[in-house]
Amino acid sequence: MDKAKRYFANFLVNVPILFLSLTCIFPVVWLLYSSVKTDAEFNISPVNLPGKIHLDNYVKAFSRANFGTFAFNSLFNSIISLLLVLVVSFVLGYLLSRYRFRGRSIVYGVLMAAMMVPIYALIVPIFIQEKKLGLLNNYFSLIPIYVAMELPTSVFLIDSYIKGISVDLEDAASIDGASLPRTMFTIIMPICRPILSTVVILTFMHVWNEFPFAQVLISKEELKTIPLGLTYFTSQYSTSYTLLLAALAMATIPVLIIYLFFYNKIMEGMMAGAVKG
Amino acid sequence: MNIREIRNNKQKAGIYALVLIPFIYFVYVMVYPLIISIYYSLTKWKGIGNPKFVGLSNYTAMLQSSDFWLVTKNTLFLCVVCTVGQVGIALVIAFLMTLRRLKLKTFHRAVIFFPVVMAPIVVGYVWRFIYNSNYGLLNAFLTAIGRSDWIRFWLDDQDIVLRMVSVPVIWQYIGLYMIILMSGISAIPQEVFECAEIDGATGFKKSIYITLPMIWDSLKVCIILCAGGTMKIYDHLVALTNGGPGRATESLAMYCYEYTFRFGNFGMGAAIAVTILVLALLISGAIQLVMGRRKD
Amino acid sequence: MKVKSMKKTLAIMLAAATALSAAGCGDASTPATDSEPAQDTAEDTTTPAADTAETESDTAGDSAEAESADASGGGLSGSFSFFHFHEDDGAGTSKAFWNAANKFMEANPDVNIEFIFTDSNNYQEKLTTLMAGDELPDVWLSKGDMLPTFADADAIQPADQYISADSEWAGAYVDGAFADCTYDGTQWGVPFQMQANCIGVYNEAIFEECGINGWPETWTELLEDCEKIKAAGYTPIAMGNKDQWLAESAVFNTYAYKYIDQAWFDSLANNGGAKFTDEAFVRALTGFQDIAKYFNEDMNSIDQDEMFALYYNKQAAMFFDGAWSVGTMIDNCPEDVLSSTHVGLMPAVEGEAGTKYDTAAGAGWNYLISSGLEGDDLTACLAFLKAVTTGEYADDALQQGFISAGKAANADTSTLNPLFAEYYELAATMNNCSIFDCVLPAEIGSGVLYADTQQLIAGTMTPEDMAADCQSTLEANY
Repeated sequence: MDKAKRYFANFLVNVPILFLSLTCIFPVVWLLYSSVKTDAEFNISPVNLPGKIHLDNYVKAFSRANFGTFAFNSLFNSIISLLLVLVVSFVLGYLLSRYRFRGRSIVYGVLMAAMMVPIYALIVPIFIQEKKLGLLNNYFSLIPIYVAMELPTSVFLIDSYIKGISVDLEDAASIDGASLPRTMFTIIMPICRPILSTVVILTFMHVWNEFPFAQVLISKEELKTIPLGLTYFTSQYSTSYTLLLAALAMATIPVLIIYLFFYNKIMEGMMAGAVKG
Repeated sequence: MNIREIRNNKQKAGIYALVLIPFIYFVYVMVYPLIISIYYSLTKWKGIGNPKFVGLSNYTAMLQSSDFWLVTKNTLFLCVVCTVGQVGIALVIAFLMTLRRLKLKTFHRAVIFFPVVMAPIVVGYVWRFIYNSNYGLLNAFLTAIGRSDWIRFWLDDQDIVLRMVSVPVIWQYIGLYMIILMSGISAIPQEVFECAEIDGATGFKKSIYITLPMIWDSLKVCIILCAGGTMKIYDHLVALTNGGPGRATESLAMYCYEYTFRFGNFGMGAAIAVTILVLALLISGAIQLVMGRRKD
Repeated sequence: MKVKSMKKTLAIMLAAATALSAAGCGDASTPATDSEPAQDTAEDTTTPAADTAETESDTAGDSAEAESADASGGGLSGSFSFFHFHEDDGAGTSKAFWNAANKFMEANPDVNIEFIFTDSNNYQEKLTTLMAGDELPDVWLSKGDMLPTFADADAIQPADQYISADSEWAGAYVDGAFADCTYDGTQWGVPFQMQANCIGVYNEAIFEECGINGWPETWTELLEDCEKIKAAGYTPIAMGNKDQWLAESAVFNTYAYKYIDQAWFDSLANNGGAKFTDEAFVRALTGFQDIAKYFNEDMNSIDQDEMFALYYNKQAAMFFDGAWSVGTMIDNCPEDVLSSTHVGLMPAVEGEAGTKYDTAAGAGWNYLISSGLEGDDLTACLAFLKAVTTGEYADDALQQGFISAGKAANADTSTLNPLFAEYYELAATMNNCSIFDCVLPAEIGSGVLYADTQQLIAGTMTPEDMAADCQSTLEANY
């Protein structure tokens, strides 16, 4: 009886999650096999498996969407934005969580509200702002916006994580005479590795995929990013879906790599932390 | 609470400088444009020439339009349903991840995040053929379990379509909140669990009485991110239904886009944007109030 | 001078593109020197030096290029920016555009064109932003519904003054090509295509199987045919209205012209007394709601491509869509279905004034010229617009599967795809009427009309409510 109960509990825990996991793999699998179909096959049925594998979809998609140049630009934007976001949001998150000062809740409230405003409400005013600053069509058109856009999420994540860390270490350090920046970067930052990894994953993903701002602020071919390249498969009356999917598959790879790499960092943190089972 | 005292005025000045520099920058990039939008919302402007001041007439026109109330209702509905769904399911999974019973943990952790990195167009495509009436997987499933009487035109039926589009959105971001909550759990000191185990706490109880209070802040941040994300929901709805049938699945973000870019009515578009901002302030205030108080 | 290096790079890219298209293959490593020998010297000096020493090599290159230009008959110089949605390797309209554009640039190496591409789905968003930021390019594309905004703000200059000054150019367009770019009695734009927004595409094999003899001539016949097709287990008419425009713009619009006429619509659009709530229009809405029972039931959740899929898979016997679908059929339709596919005009409704020839059709998008463009740049721009809308472009357009706004005087119609040839013959008989969403302000044309039509065919809105809704929005926008 007890054994049956345990089996049932195991079943209850494992099966729904397994089901969820399988549904999560499905889009990846679909993307991969659809991207090697011909357009005719795809048009007849978007679900069926391909008759023959057309890897040249990838070759065509790569050149048509200017992948070489665009991937470089996307990488450039992502990495610079990421570094800036990491430093700024860590400092801001740390100070907001550790110290109580006048205006703290205003900073909090503004960050939170600005996060809920749709991008499309900001596009035109930001375009005009960038034009006045002479920032349009420039290697640095997008980075300032991406940094600001990603700031609230990262600050909230770091802030909430640091709240859970005891102040003992820092107090000990400051008794030893360590300055505030030193305490922040040499004592707290290493402890925050799991959440900083989460910030890396999220920021990289958002910046890598960002479309609306790149679309309006960049007109020059040599400055465009990957998401803009993904529109190169649509002409006035038709879309070449298989090429688009091949390009999407290629565009997703860097994000998955970043995820799998930094997710391991999160897991290391978890192993060092709590979960024994 | 883990708070530190500000030691002296010099440190205070340093803290203010470090907070204000990025904050002013943020205000300049993200908030200042919104303030310009407030000005636009009081004008009639086609996007070219000089805006003509019209007072509050955009707002009165907006509030009188039944479409506006419909899309506001849709957005708030999605905001609540998706927040509860995403964070709730993610929380359950994050707890399950701490159980020895659960097999294949590494696999699950890696895979549940996959949808998060998928482009909305792919998610839209996949779910549209899950719902498809011809070759849809959902209908095939219902037929297989003998409930073909439950079959609907999932995305055509005005009465259920909003609920139907919320499912893919919830599904896609479970992984994201799972990661955040798990990194919160990782911060809990091992000793806490060991003490609890000595006291005889197991599985479920451990989760509710020990883990949950310890990750309260992570949970709060998940709710903030999630509410923020669904308030501006756009891509998913475009990919799934394009707001239809009629405006049954249109969100405020789509409504704002429509007026600004498709109709070239900048004044009205800005009025909608300002309304979204006001709603956002209310919601973030509410979250602060509810979640903040409980902890203290 | 600031944009020189950019233009240079573009010029080189385009030279490479030309070389590639001339070679007829897609090897990206082929150097630009593969193009005509006459240009080799000029290209050699510019290509390697372009990035570092633009200015000097520019002058050097210019003189060399000028000579080779003379040899090929060009001689224009100037520069302008050109904002477009013609994807390099896309559908027919794009191919024909690039064929003509590359030819022009080859003949006129001193004309620097800064091409700015945005795909057609996102084009309007970017255009609106550029407009609001006062950063409009020299030439851009616009639908008729935005024309008054540009014209009233003096942002554009009328194209007709230049076109009528050149008799060869003026005579090169088909009748009615300028209908969509006329505002306040002035023809502002330069049209490049002439599409019927509605044509019936049907599978003759399924028709015969259901005992139907050819395409129906009247609406009653169509309804009877639909009944037979439905009885045989097929979807009579495929409809993919997820993106909201298809039912309204590509089907209902033309259906409405069976009840109302161009004069009524002009009066409606110009506040001349006609109303959406007029009895004839409400009758059209009612009739359209009736035909919806022959659509597939998921009409509002599948998109145009899924609608085509129903047809490819022989689940649906016919569909109504814009003429662009003819090109799509030729490219993607399985051979057995394509061979029994034919096209027909939307039948007339008995007892109503409209004929089967009345079809919503037109140029849709037009090239507009910024009012700031003048001098050599303007001359070069006009020559370019002429080259990419008329003459050889028009002939090429037919081979690429669409009808251009220019007269295809020298086209070899014998080599056309049979299905396209069928459409081409039908198109000649059509009585072109205004496309609603190209003329009416967007809040009605692509706002209320789209959303309400979706509800109309879903049966969740009555024709009377829809008419009233449209009328009240229209009145708010006069």
